[in-house]
Amino acid sequence: MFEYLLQLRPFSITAAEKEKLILEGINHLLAHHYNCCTGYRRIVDAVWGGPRPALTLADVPYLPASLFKEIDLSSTNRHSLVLQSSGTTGQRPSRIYVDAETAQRQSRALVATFQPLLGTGRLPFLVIDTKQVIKNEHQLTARGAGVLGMMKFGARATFALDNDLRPYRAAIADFVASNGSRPFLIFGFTFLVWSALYQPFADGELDLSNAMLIHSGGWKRLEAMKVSNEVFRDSLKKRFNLQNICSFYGFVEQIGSVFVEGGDGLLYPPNFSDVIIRRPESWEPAGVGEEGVVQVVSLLPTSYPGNSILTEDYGVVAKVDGGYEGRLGKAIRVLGRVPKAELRGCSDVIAAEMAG
Amino acid sequence: MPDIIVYRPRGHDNIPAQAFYAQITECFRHLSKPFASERLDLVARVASKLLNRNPAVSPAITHFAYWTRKAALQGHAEAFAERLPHDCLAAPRGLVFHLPPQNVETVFLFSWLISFLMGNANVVRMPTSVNEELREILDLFLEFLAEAPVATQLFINYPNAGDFSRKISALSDARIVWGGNAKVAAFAQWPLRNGGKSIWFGDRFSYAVLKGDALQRLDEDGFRQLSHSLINDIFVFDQLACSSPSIVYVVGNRENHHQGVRALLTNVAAAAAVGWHGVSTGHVIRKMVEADAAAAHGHATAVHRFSNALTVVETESSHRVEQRVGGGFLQICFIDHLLDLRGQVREHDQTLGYYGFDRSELTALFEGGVLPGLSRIVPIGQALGFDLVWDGYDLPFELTRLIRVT
Repeated sequence: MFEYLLQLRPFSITAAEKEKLILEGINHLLAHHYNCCTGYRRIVDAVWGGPRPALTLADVPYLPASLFKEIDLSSTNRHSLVLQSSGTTGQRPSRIYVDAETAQRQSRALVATFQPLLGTGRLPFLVIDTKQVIKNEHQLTARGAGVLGMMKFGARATFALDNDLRPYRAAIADFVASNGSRPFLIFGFTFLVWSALYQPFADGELDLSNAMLIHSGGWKRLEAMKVSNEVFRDSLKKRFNLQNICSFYGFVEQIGSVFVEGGDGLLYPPNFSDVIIRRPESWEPAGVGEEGVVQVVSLLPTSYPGNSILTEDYGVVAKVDGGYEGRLGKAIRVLGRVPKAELRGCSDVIAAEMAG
Repeated sequence: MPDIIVYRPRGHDNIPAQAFYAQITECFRHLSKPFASERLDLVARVASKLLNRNPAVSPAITHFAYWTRKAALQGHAEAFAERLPHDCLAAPRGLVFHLPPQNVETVFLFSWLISFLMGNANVVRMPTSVNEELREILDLFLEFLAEAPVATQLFINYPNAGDFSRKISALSDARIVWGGNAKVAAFAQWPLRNGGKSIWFGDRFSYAVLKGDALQRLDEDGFRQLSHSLINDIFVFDQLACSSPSIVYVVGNRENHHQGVRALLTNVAAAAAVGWHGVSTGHVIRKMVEADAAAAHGHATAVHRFSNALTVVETESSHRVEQRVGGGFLQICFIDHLLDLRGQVREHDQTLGYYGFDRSELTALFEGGVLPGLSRIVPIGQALGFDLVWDGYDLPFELTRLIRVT
């Protein structure tokens, strides 16, 4: 089913058709994980009342994304790569076990998703990150995996940042001087694009009018600086004449499955993934236009049981089969993170309280 | 040097640190005898205001007020006199420094109150934020305390940076540190005046046990009461007070009792979902994560999400799933006999709530070899009730010194 969906033109399937196709594929995949992953089998038995084919997509058991921070879940004994979330200090990162097959599916999925945007030729490629992120190819962070994935579309990758994430100003200027006259690709995490490209350079200092910027990674830190998607776009346009900007939504637990922003500013799941918004009060599916917690269902992973993930993002289905730029299926808006749980009790010691 | 904030009724003063130190150096000249009538009267006046307040105060404060009303205070005084060793008089220790936890906000009240009743001078470092109700109670006390000629009861705060905690410790005769093990370790480095004593309340863990047969015999009313008691123990302070249960052991065989337990927990979850202030979505997801992890490790044989308020993880083995999830996360474990609990008790275990057992069954737990932990055995519903004997300490005696006259 994954193969079939990958062949179809991106975003060409209606929501109803998609649910039917994905449901068929996912029941098959979840039976595979039930047989091959002890931890997953125990969860399905203890939490979900045992294995049974789901009748609707909303019935498919889901795992909270943070579970991958707590425990190792693998359906393969031949993993070639462990993906890690970038992780906040003091917290264990997610660990995602990827084998050759899943790696290949991820890579083909990315190609299918971005080829319509980027074409088949390899573009000069400016990475707004440090080379360090891809140093260890057996243990990648989400950022590293993103960079490595996008390298399929770029030739001669130039890394724009040093190990401390400060820009190599001369290297960036040289890159733009030699490649700026024809189409080229810029890729980076949203916050880095802002802090290490937009902020350090002055208006007109770089001409990025031929660039296609692809970025991702959440708005939390930018929102704290009062930078919305709109401000982000307007600022880059004003400063660098950079107009082709495309963000996507994705997370390390389902790498390769990215929701690409349409011209309407909405995020569209790829053909082999679908989204369910759940009401946090009851965890029942929410209606169109109703905010809730984002769950993503994907046919991509086979080496770990990450096909149905409850994220810690709030979102809303803005449209179904809207047809903007020919895009069908569900279109979502991501509204921000679910705040971290904060309960404090007797043993509430925080470093600050002890000091002094 | 930054100032020390000293609370006044409905406000505060900023006092230069040196002046504050000079003030507290003086205040142990103005101690009272234990359970002195003017101190009892002051506390009882506040309690009666609280009990008559309209609208009524919260359950935790009602408990505090009930526990400090005039008759109760006289009971505490008499009990103290009765327990005084033969030929002994009691006197206050002097200046007592209190470091209550940031949350479980009522702790500062109890900590201070007992020491006050014993006649001590007190410095209480307040939690950084105090809810409106507690501030109102503090203001009542501050107003009455302001009538005294010398200020010996000081509720304060100060910046974390600096050596305020060390300096105040060095001027104190006793110190009560509430909080986690790390906080205890930090304060352990700072000595008190003249080798005074510290009382430590570090991380503690609590659970409950109920008799399956007794559960089965409950009528509708008793069932409702038991549900209500469990809700109190679990949901007040988001289940993170040290004495809130994290595990409920059920004595009896699973086949006979799991339906009864399920009915009880369903009732608890439903009532909690209505009456409780609720839990954040982030915490509900955290509970999913912890329950899934317990299942994946093979510890949990079944996970029941009754509602967002209550997630129950059922284990067959006695493995403790996770010590501090809180916010409505309970482990259930069926055991054959009450005495099987003996093998479960660990050093930092504090409160055992019970239902359906009589005193002789419970004391039997402590016969035949010393258990490493457990210091409170109370009926389910009273896990959060405060008592003069707490966590293994007889607090009135800890906060007084004895004078032997022979």
